[in-house]
This record gives sequence, structure tokens and C-alpha cells, in this order.
Amino acid sequence: MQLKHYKYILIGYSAILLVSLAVFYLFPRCVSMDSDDIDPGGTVEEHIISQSIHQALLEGKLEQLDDIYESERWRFDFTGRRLEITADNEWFDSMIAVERTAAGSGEIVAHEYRTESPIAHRLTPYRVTLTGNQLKLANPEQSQIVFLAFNKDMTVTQFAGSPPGEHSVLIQQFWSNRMLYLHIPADVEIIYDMHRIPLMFVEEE
Amino acid sequence: MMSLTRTNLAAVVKKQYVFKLKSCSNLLISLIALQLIAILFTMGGMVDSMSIGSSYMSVTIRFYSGDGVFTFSLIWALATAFILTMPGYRNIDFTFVGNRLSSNLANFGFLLTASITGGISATLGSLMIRNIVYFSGGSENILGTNFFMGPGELLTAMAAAALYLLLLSAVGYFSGTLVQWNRILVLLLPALVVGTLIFEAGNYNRRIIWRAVDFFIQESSLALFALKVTATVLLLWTGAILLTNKTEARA
Repeated sequence: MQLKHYKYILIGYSAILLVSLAVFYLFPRCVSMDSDDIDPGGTVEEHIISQSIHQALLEGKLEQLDDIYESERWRFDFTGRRLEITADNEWFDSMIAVERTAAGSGEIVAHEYRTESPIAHRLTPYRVTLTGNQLKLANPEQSQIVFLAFNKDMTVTQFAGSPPGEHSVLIQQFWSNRMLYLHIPADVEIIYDMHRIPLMFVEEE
Repeated sequence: MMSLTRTNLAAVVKKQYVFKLKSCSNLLISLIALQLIAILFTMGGMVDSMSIGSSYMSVTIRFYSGDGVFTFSLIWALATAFILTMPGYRNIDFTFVGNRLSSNLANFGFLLTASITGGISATLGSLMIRNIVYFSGGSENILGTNFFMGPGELLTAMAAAALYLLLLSAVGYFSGTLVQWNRILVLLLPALVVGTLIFEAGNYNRRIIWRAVDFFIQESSLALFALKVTATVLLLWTGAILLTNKTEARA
């Protein structure tokens, strides 16, 4: 009797494994990103701390960079003479650049830029609001993204090999820098706490 | 006369082998149980992970693999082979007219079958994990790197896993035979292994066990690996047969 149960278990398990085999090879798969999409080169510095972005931001040439795109834009009518920029959080942890526009243009425009990354489009935007003469900036809520990946089985890597450090390179590809770019009329006085809001002023040519 | 004896031995071994497959099927059930537990553990979080983050983003990558299933299968092979040498399982053979040699050969046949079965099922278990992750995790969250396993890789993995299981089962069988030969080894053998490992941890230049492990795991050619495993298994099996004869003589 017990032998009969064992037989059923063995047959059942074998059937499940065979179905797994069939499902794995017969059904076409669409995965988020293939290894071919991942740039194998690059270092942490290149992907995370890009001096070129900083420089481009200061020179007002952010859009000339290839791997940066505008993800959000806010427009506010503003006719006041003084603008107070405040941070909703204790501090604002991104680069913010201010470019002066023609005096009397009557509007403030805020742009959010992000560096291209497989997850850039999944990030929540900054929160930018204008109340009276107060432009309030708030850090976005933290986007928590979990990817599921696979290691080759050790029985495969022993004979096929696996490039060392591929995972550390892999995760760097996900990093996305983001920054705010404000267009504020030249005749508006800007008031802000420099310890909490790291404003950079675009160099005038 | 010689030919008749050989035929008889082969017939007895075959009978004992078939009987063993049935009577020891509980051991195969334990393999299934262990592999399922390993799959559950893997799905439950027995995985590597890597994170990167800032105040506005946190990216975590969880890495799945079939290594848990394979490792559990290795433990099973070692333990099962050891168990087969114990009196409870050895006495099963007395159901048939045979000798220690036929009993050993039938055991080797069983372990070979179990290793091939375990190797194939452990590798298919890795595909099962991929399927479960794919269908439960959402395709948009799965990174394709290493997700696909080509048929060539699959066959390599199956062969390698079966060879590793065979190797571990031979080690387990030889250790079990040693213990049956002299019961004091039941304490001395683990002490010797653990002691050597501790010694090796502190003396990088004097490594015995790790060199033996490296001899197998550093081999990048499957053919050479198979050759190494086959030679070692034959050596261990021969040692076990010789020891069993001595055990019988002492008894």
C-alpha cells in the first residue's frame, strides 16, 4: 500500500518536472531586460556621479547631453517681485539650477530632468507648487523597485564560465540622476536657505 | 563453470537491484521532499540580493538560482549512500541468495540510478523555480540575464549534477562502509574531517580536503570532470568492496 503511494508521488513529481520543462521551452517569454540591453562597461563614477551633468547644468546646456530627458514640467504665472523658494523636507537632495529669463516674462517654469536608465520612467516626480510668492519644492516619495534576476546554476558556470562582477555592473545601470531646472524672470528677487536648498545659478554667457 | 558463476552473479545483482529500487523507494521520496523544500526555501527568500538607493529611489535585485535544489540533493546523496551501508538496509539483501559482492553491486546500481534521477530532477527543479518566478513575479520585473537556459546548458547541468551526486554518494558509501568495518570510526571520521578543515583554514599552504574539492570544482572540461569522477567513484567502490569483505571475515 505504501509502495503504491510512493509510486504515485514519484509519477506526480516527474510529471510536474516535465511540465516545467515544457512550459519553460514552449512558451515565449517577454522579460524586462535582456543581457544584450545592458551596457557591460562603465564604472560607478561614470554612472552615478557624472561631472558632465554638473557642468552642463551650470552652463544651461543640459538638453545637449544625450542621455538626459525632461520628465516633468510645471508652469506658474507669477507677477510678483520676490520669490521665496522653500523645501518641504528638511533638505532638498538634488541638484537645482536656476536660469534667469527675460525680465517681466510673468511666468516661472520648472523642469525635472532625469538621466536615462531602465527604471527612470518608474520614478515618482518631484512635487513643485506655487502658493502666493512661495515656490515649494518637495523631494519625491522613494520609489522602491525590485527586480528578479537569475544566477546561472553552479553546474553550468563550472563548465561555461560567468563573467566576474557582472552583477555589480548590472545594478549600476539602474541608477538615474535627476535634477530640477527653474526658469525665473531676472527681475524677481530669489530668497532661499542655502543650507537646505542647493541652488546653482546658470552662468550667463 | 566460470561463465555460469558470472551469469549467476549478474542475475542475483539484477534481482537485488530491482528489489532495492522498490524497497528503498522511500529514499527517493526523501529526495523529492528535499528538493521541494529547497524550492520553497528559494522562493521564500534563500536568495542573493543586491541594492542601490538614494532618498528617492531604491533598487533591489534578487538573484534566484537552482543551486539550493542542487545542494540539498548533494546532501541527500551523501546521506542516502551512508544509510545504505547500515545493517537495517544491508539485511534487506538477505531476502535473496547472494553475497556481499552482489549486495554491493546492487547498491552501486541503485546509487547510480538515484544519482542520475537526482541530477535530472535537480536541474529541472531549477527550471521550475524560473517558471514560478516568471509567473508570480511579473515579466516586467524579471531581468533576462541568465534567465534562459539553452538545451545545451540544460544537458550539461544535468550531467554535471548527476556526476556530483554520484561522487558524493560514493564518498558516503565508502564512509558508511568504513564505519561498519570499525564502529569507532563513527566518531573518529567526522572528527578527522572537521579537524582537518579547521587545520586547513589556518594553514593555507597545507590543504588536503580543499585540494581534493578543487580537483573537481576547478575542472572546466565536462569530459575531464566525468573522467575524474568515474575514476574516483570506481576507486571508492573498490575500497568499499574490499572493506566489506574484511568486515565479513571479522564477523
